[in-house]
Amino acid sequence: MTLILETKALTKRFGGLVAVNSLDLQVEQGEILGLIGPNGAGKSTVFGLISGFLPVTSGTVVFDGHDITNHHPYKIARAGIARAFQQSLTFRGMTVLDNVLVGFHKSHDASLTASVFRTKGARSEEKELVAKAIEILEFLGIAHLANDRPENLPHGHQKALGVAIALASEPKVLLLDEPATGMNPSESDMMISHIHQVRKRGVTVVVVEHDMRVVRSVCDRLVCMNFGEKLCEGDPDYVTSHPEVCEAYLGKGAADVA
Amino acid sequence: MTPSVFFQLIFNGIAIGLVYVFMASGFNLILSVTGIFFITFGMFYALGAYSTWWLTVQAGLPYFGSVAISTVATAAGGVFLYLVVMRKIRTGEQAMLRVLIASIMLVTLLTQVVLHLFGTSPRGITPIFKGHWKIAGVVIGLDRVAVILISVAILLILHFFLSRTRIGRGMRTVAFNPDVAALLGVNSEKVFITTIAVGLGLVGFAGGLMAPILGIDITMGSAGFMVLLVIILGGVGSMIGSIMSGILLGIVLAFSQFYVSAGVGQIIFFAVVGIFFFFRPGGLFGSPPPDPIDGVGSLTGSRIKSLPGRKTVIVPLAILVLAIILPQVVHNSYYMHLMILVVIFAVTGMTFTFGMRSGMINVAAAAFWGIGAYATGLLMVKGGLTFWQALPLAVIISFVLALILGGVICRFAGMSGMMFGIVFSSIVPVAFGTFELFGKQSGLTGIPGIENLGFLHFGSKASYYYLVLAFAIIGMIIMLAFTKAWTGRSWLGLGSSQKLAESVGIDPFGYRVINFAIMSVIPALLGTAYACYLGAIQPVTFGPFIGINFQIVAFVGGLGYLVAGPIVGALFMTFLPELLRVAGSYEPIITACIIILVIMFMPSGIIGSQDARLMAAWRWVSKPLRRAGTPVPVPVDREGAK
Ligand SMILES: Nc1ncnc2c1ncn2[C@@H]1O[C@H](COP(=O)(O)OP(=O)(O)OP(=O)(O)O)[C@@H](O)[C@H]1O
Ligand SMILES: [Mg+2]
Repeated sequence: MTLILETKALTKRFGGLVAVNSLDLQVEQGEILGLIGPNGAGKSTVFGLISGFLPVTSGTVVFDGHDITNHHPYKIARAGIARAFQQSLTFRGMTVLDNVLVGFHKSHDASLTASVFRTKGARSEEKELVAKAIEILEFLGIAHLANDRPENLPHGHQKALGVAIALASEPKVLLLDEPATGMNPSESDMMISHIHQVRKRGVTVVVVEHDMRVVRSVCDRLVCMNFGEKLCEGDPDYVTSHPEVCEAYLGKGAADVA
Repeated sequence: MTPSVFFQLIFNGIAIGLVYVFMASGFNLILSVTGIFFITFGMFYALGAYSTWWLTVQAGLPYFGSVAISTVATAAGGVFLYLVVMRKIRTGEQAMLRVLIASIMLVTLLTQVVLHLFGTSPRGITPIFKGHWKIAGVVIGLDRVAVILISVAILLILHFFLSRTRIGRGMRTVAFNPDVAALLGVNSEKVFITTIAVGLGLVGFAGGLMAPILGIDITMGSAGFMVLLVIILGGVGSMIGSIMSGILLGIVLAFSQFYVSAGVGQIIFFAVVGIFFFFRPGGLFGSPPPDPIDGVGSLTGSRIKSLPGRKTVIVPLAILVLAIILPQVVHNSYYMHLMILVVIFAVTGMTFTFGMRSGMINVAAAAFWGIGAYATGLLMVKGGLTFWQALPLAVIISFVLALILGGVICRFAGMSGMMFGIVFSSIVPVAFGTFELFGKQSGLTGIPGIENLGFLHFGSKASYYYLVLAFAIIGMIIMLAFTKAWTGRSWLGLGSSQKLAESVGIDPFGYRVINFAIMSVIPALLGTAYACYLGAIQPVTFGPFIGINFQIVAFVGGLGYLVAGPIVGALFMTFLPELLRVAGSYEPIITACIIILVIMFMPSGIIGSQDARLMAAWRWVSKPLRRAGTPVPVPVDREGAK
């Protein structure tokens, strides 16, 4: 097993608050890793640190053997880490299809001049990308909405579109922040199958999720965080039955976990 | 420099700086609490000064009573404008931009009102405190000492008000986090009104306080532009930052005024802030503010054509044919002049829409228009070049300047970037008016006409019209080509959500600099021809209040329409004042009011608000003409339907 993504003693302070505290996280090539923990545990912050949106206080992030700590987000994205945001960000005002095409940003081979002058090569590349975009939309079950605007879509479809945009950037690692939150059971079933299929495409997935049913059915391995620290890690059964994990979730309803 | 001169200048600088401290504190308070970019505050400074003058000199009231009344009156006036105009537009579609345009239009409006009420000549008030001390060769005027002491007292009261009173704490909570404030039950409407009253009262008070020392004239309102630099340097939301950098600006101005000229001081301060800003976007004391501009390019509700979408060539072609035959029909030379302006306005307005798609509110177009014109003028008058030799050089000069400025602005595109651009648009005319090279205020004269080029003969108005039209079309084609290329889609993504765009590998800085350079070089290109057309150019031709017209053109037509919007807007903006000629000297007031009304009630512009009707009409007209479009193939849904 090779490590594709690793954080070493990763720490983030917001003023006095330590949101992530000396976290060591290992992600293996090809796995689906679940990152769980109660609200405010620091999960989204970890994603922010890995993808370069938040400056790291101390520690390092290593991706594919390279230190990417505090690199600019767009460079990290080009290196191969994509992210679907918790707030299901989409490009409002553009069509769903264009949303995905923006995601293809780094796969343009045609030069800017070729594209500006609309050479034959550029046009055929454009056609290929549209086909690929539609393929991704089909894969996520939202191809019939290709000409709609994301702001008019129901929540579940917006989440799916967020994943589609991230997938379009052809990542090696995909960070999913609460992909199934706010979905009804049938929608989250769909998301479960999508996540499995994403992995089949050879993408390593790290998923943050509160819905334990989703977590249990997709993750190979879990890491549980609380107050910015790693509580425990291991296979899903072990972690979800771990007494400290139950305790961390108590207050919020231990029934979810048990 | 002797020590006494040095200390004298420091002392004078502090006194001048206090003006900026008050204005910056007032504006900063309003900006950080309400999020309203109330750049009109500069006029409230002038209003405070004028009304103090009127109350003391004309009505014979005691000075301090007049200042008090003026302060209350400016505060009330500000609240009135907030309730009537700003409250409606501060949220909702394109709020940031609408507030910007409306508040600049209010500057125009209030300037006219002041001119009508108080006349054009500068006014003065005799100082209350006469006499001075002389300490080691430094002249300490009592009036200035009084001003400094009063200012310190007022700032302390303000600090006390913000930190100790209930409503003051409410203001700080709202500034810190509006959502939390709402949860805590802070009445934000009441907080907003108080903030506006306090902020503009402060500015009006400064006007009254400084009037005996600095004199009163209508240009006071433009001090607002320099205040933006103070805020960039001090940090949005930081009171101590405003105080420190306001005084710093005062001192820089005092020194430069003594040794060279105030204009040079402004330029130096601008350059210093620019360099500083490049390395520390948050300012000296503030933290980088959450960006209200992020997402400005997402035109929800309006119709951006999908990029690989269908094309209708008929409308642009018809407009082009019309534009070409027009000079053959219209021979009136004044109308030809207006048509030249329409073309310039349309394409420059288009650069604004073009920039906005990548999430930038570009306010520097007029400045680059001027840079193109001055570069051409200089190369021809002083360098002895012909127009066709000067043209490429002028374009290159503008392009390089655009890359440099773009480098600063795009590094932190957003609120501070926009403010920096606004200051740039006011600094460029200052630079033209300051240096001998540019002919100072009288500008460049005797710019020769364009030489004939082969079969192209220049001389008549129509020939210049055709040249400007050709340049405009080149500009439009460049913008359209980049919009259709993959750059266009990346720009749209950036404009819609910078965060998401970055997360798929789009470099916001690089993309925005390209966008900025293109949209700046096009006005410069039009400026080259304009210089020869006019034969003489002055700094005022390219001032910031001209620049706002370009944004209005884009907005009034409809921001969702890259080509049609600015054309409609340009026709509107050029012919509206013509139609209102009958109103005589009230014309500017009426025009400004109409524009403000359009901004308030037509958030998606003239075309946008009539979109459904226009589309229906267009379908009806084009039915027999329409070519088979190539809509994006929508595949049969397999997994989605359940
Ligand atoms: N930009 C910020 N500034 C200050 N504090 C922050 C910031 N972002 C997050 N925090 C704090 O850091 C802690 C961790 O937040 P984070 O969003 O990472 O939690 P999370 O595990 O993703 O929670 P949730 O499950 O609710 O999404 C929280 O206490 C939060 O308030
Ligand atoms: Mg989170």
